[in-house]
Amino acid sequence: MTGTSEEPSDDELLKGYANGDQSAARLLAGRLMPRVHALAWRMLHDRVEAEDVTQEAMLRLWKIAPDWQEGNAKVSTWLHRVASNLCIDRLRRRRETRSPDQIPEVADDAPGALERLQTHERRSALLAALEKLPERQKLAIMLRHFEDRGNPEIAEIMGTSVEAVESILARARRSLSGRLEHRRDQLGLVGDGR
Amino acid sequence: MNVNGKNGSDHNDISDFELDLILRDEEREPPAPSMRLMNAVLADAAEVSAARAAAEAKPASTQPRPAGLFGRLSGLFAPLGGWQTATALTVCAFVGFAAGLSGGTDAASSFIFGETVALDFPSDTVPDYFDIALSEG
Repeated sequence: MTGTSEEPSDDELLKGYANGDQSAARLLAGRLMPRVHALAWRMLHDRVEAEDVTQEAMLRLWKIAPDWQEGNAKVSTWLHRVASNLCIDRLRRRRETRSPDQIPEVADDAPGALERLQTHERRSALLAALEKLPERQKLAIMLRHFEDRGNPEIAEIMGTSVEAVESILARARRSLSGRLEHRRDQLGLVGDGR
Repeated sequence: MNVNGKNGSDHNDISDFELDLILRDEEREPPAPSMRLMNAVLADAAEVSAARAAAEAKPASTQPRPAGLFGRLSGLFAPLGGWQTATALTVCAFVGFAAGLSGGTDAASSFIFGETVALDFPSDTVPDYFDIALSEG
């Protein structure tokens, strides 16, 4: 984000916070927290865990603030990298303790009864397929398709090269397709002519 | 909602196009972070700031102790009130010791009381004491 006279950049806000300006922290949290929370929620599909990850990532940002060096990385990218790693840690721990078929309940907020059921089934099928992806493949899919981030930024967040991201995404999509092909009905992909 | 991307799809493979449709359909806004989370994050920010301020203030309030023998002695004399007090006490002790050796106590008592002061024990108490000491030893 480029700083203007009206809107300070993330770097400037972080520097302000490091110098004791709590209003800078409030502005920065209001700006960065929703996207970090969105990523955590999409990765974990658990409100409490998503909030825990968001809080922990923000705490690490506050702690690193005095040592932050402008120009090394974007604050938002750094924060997403921290949140991503925290999510991956939690997913790994979850896989160690949960059985593979245990999928968290999907929030259901569609309006009509039939549509609600279809949406719920479709989301459950997709979520089940996403849950079975390796953590980094899932993260890449989330960042690319749900966060709408470009491959270079995904590479920076994941700490890898753009080529590696492209490869991870391709494998993730192949894996998703393979897992979803038997669930066409659930996904509403039946050729019913509508 | 039908997310079928192909008319009359008669095979089971999920095409790239269909996968994009499925993922796009899921691309809804996640729930907004709660106010509780915002408050917790800001409380963390304030706490980290306060801890940092305290850590920065601490070295300024305690002066570093000089190294070497003098530094160690300073630490030793600190409970007495510092090396100045310890020096004063030492000087007093030497003056008192020297006065005692030189017999100057008579002069001092003459100066203070106008006459020589001597301690006089009752004559019957001293032999009793030595008697006890001899009988026990």
